[in-house]
Amino acid sequence: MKKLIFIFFIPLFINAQSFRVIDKESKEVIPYASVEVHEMQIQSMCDENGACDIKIISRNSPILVSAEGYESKSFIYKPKESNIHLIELEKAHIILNEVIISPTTGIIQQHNLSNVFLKSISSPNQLITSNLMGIISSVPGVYSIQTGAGISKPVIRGMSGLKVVTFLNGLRIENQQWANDHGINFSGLGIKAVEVVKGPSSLLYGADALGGVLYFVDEDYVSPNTVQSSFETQFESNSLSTRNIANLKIASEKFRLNVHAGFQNAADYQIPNGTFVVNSRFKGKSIKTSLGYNKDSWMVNLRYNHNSNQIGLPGHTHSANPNPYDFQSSVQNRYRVVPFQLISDHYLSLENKIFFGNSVLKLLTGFTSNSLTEHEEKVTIPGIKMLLTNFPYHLSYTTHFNEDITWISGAQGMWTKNMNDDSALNILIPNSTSNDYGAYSLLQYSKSQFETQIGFRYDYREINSNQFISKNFSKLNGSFGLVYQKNSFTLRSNFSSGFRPPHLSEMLADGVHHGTNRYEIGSQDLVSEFANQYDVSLDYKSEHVNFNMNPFYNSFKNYIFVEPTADFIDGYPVYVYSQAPSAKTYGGEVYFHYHPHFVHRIHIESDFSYVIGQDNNNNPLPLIPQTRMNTNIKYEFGEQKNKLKIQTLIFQRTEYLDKDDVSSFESRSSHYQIYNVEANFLYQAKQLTRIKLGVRNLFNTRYINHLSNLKGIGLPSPGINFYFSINYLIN
Amino acid sequence: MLKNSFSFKKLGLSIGLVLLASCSSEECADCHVVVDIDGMEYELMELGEYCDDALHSVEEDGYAVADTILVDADGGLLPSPVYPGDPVEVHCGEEHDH
Repeated sequence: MKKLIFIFFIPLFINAQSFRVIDKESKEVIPYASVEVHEMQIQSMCDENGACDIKIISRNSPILVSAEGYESKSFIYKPKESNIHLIELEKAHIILNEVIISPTTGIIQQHNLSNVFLKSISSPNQLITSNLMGIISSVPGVYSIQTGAGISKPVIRGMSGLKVVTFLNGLRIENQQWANDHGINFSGLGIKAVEVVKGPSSLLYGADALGGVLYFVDEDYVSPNTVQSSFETQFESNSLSTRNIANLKIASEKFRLNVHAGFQNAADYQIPNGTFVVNSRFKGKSIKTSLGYNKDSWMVNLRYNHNSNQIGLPGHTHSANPNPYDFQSSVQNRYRVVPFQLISDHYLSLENKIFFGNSVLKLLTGFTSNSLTEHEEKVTIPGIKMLLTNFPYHLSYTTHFNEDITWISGAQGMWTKNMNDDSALNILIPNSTSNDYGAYSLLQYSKSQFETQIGFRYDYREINSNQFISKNFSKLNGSFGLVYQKNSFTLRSNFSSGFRPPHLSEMLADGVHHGTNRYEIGSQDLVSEFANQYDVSLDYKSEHVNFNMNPFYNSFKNYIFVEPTADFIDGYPVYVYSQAPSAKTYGGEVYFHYHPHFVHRIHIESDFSYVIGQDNNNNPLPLIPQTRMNTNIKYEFGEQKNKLKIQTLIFQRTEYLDKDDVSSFESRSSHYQIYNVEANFLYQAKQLTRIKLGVRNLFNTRYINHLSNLKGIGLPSPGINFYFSINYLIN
Repeated sequence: MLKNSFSFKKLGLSIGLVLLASCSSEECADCHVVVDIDGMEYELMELGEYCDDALHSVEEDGYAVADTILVDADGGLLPSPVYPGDPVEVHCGEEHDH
């Protein structure tokens, strides 16, 4: 037996590799190129001679090599007889298409069968936004539901709340996401990027992901024997918001450590008429650590993240006909008043990877806790107080049979417990536990210009509550995709399905939800929702143009929604959960990136997002976003000799069209457009400092988005907002 | 071997400052008595400012009406009088009236 264990853990593959990055044309070295090893989450910076050494323990891992002024190159790493790899990069006067490696599947996007979108969060070229969702909602087809400036949650192709699932480094995040005022509780601290999967995605992510998935990944570790740190401070004039962040990355040959800490404090935001929205203030702090270790062919990552936020709930009223001026003040405050939310989250995960020849075995186990407290009328006694704990796990095995065939299979599950605190005045949803089990298998095959993927998954969920003994739900789901590439064109066609059992809040809610000013009543008659999505994507890429068109059709069975009634209980309007036999969403996104040949320093990017949602009677579904057109024009400045250099100037215009097809209890939303501008500077002394200066809502436009929770009381979004950010890097 | 140009002392101090940036302080709030009549909330009287334990006590214990109240805190006539023993609530920490 001991022998067997020894064989199992024997280092089947470990190799110190030397990379040398050179210019393809001149054959001269490219100094300070970056080499990223996807499976190991390591980013290594080469030296001034374009050389770097990395101990790679994973065969078949995607490697991404990039350098400023050059087109990035990605390839699947295969060990050679020689340990020296000569990487030739081509000079690029423009970077039209970033090379993207999917964090979930490790597939280079060019070969990915579904049109996932990877959005960089920590890139210096990223426009600063007030919160994390501000960045994500610039992705075509993605929007956000906002409650003032402090709360925002994702909407993917018109689906939100429980229909969108969030992962952080593979850890499923549960945060009472059934309510529109329960936003994502973590910030962009230490996050490298987010992968947005649009549409049903049960195959890889399990139950609930009917609308889509947000999969966040942390920043990479630094290369061995390196220390890197940075401090960042941001200020916004509109809400007098400050955000301060400290980062430390340190690595030895076997250990790697990332530490990030930050806090933010915002007062009430100002609207275009010069007044302030009362109680739109918020503050929060967070800390995040990642510890990585590798020995032979084994890698482990231990991650911990704590986020604590205090968020004011603006626009709180019991009145049936509220006056918007009741929620505005000539004075800007930041002290705590009721109603407010206190949210405290802890995320802990342990990820193990063992590499065997052409295979990798991964085991992720974790723990998340979400403590949600809402105070409505009393400062010391909460209205509701719940603790949601979750123990997710995921075991997966990936093997490359040969160059053409890859097989991924796994088992995934979680145990969740929701507990109400006795100190709270109300109980909205009862104490409960639930168990999820799932198993999946996925086969990928590629041959010449074709790539295909087929997969199946079975899920089972059991819910136990003190209001009913037990309920269980199960479903078999599948996904099939095909990619065809020819010359500059890529055509993707994908079918995927998903299911979502009704949530406790939808079945058993019976109480006041202060965050939304509703009395909510659930229904135990609800059954599981199902969704099937057909998604086609056409890509065209040339030297100066990148064009993508992505229409979709998503059909639902047993669509669950919440609708108002004519009743009031304790002064609150009563909302009930019900189910339509079927519903559909359809529409698409178009993305266009043009770089005029005659003006090499200019980039023009434009995207268009359109979604229609209808129930079985073709009546509009609620909370379907407005059609959006977004245009970015970026000017890149050339080489400068000064210490202070201006790098880019970005001009952004976002237009939302009229929304007339609204559900019976919504009002129409008007067209508006907003303009933002940002300049990026670099100060190069002994250390590097990045400076950003910008203005959001340049023309102080008054607008209310259709998805704003403050729309009903006529409170607009923030007016003109000047901001700056200083990021001081120490290497 | 880690690069020398890095000061752990400065880094530790900076991270410490970040972590210690938010400290708890005394919690005080203005409180008032309200009554619900036919789904509408009326403010009956101001109770003044309470802090910490006293704030928790006044929120938890509530307020007992001793004499019949006919008008609200602004002098407006209530739709129906509030009699001793009627349920009323103490609300604290609001910035403005509903």
